[in-house]
Amino acid sequence: MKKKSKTAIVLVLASLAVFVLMLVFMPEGSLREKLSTSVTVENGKASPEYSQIVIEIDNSGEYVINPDWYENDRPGFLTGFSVLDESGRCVYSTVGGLLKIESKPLELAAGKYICRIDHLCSADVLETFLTMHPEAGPIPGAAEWFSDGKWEMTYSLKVFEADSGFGDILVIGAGVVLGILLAALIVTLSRDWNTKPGKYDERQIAEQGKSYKLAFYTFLACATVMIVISDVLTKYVEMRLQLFIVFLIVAAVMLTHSVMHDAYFRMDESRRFYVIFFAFLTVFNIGIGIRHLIAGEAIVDGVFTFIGFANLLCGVLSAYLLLLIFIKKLRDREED
Amino acid sequence: MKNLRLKAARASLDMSQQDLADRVGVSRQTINAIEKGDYNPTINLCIAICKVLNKTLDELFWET
Repeated sequence: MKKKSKTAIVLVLASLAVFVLMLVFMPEGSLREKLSTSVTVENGKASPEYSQIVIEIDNSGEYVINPDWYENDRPGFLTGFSVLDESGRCVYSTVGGLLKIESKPLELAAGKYICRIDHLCSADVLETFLTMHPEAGPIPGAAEWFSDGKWEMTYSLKVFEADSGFGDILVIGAGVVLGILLAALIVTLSRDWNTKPGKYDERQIAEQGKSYKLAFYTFLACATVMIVISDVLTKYVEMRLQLFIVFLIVAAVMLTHSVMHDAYFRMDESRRFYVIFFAFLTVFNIGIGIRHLIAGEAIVDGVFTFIGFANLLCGVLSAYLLLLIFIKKLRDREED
Repeated sequence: MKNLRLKAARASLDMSQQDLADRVGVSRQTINAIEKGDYNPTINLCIAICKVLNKTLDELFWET
């Protein structure tokens, strides 16, 4: 068997092993629900008075409940959120106008739970709710919320295991290892091992040095800008997203210089293979990015989130790389 | 400065940039960059090119 095939098989098996590891350590019991409803308030009466979502917990344990009803349009009522078990006992409740909140860890038995969303459109209705759920109140300035009108509300609910932190770290670590293994597999498949070993020539190595130098200066410039404006920027863009954007800018500078000076691909590498791979990466990441945008995870409480934009920006970077390869090919054709 | 002597020597042997690149173990773009004067090769690469083209270092790379 050829060395290339052997290496490819080893990498595929290692990738599968890591993938299985990820599945084993994937935190269980994590679920997401979403409810969209149109609420009309007329003469202090809401229609419908409440909405509800039924969730099912498969395994008993400690869970964190994370209801979220942040809307850009402030409704004319307060929302009371309560979770009732099968016997009707309330296990968690909260109340607010526009909010994203996380409960303390709650001991939940396996079974069905009703997540009830009350549309509290008057002081009387609010008082009734708070009588039943005293732990949810009091609500200062509640009277300012009540007004007639019609609002499209989207409530989202996340329930996840309270002690899933270690599992998360393992899954993220396994994801990184999986990424490295897949990258190694792609390099293996793209190389022509029968002719000459994959290498960069002396000019390519020199150009790569210039690329790294440019990237380093870019990083210094970005870091300087970050130091100056980070305080203001953090109000609108999550810190993780800011750092990720800096990383992408630095990578883009390095890629631009490397690709335009023929220092990105080794001498024997198949560009076609990489183009297909990067096209796949672009579609995959932009697809996930759009899904995050549609799910409303991109902007939370007026702040651009890392989760919402990471994939989209990765997709943009790989699309930019494809564009660079295309432009370079056109320039090479003109030179020939 | 363009290296027209290298280009002429290569053409006289009816070699393409790719042929010369393969013989000396570099990419075609590197030969192109040397001919255009965009890249100054190391002495090792100069010697390798001279051997393939049956020329001396002076003939191909010495500038007066």
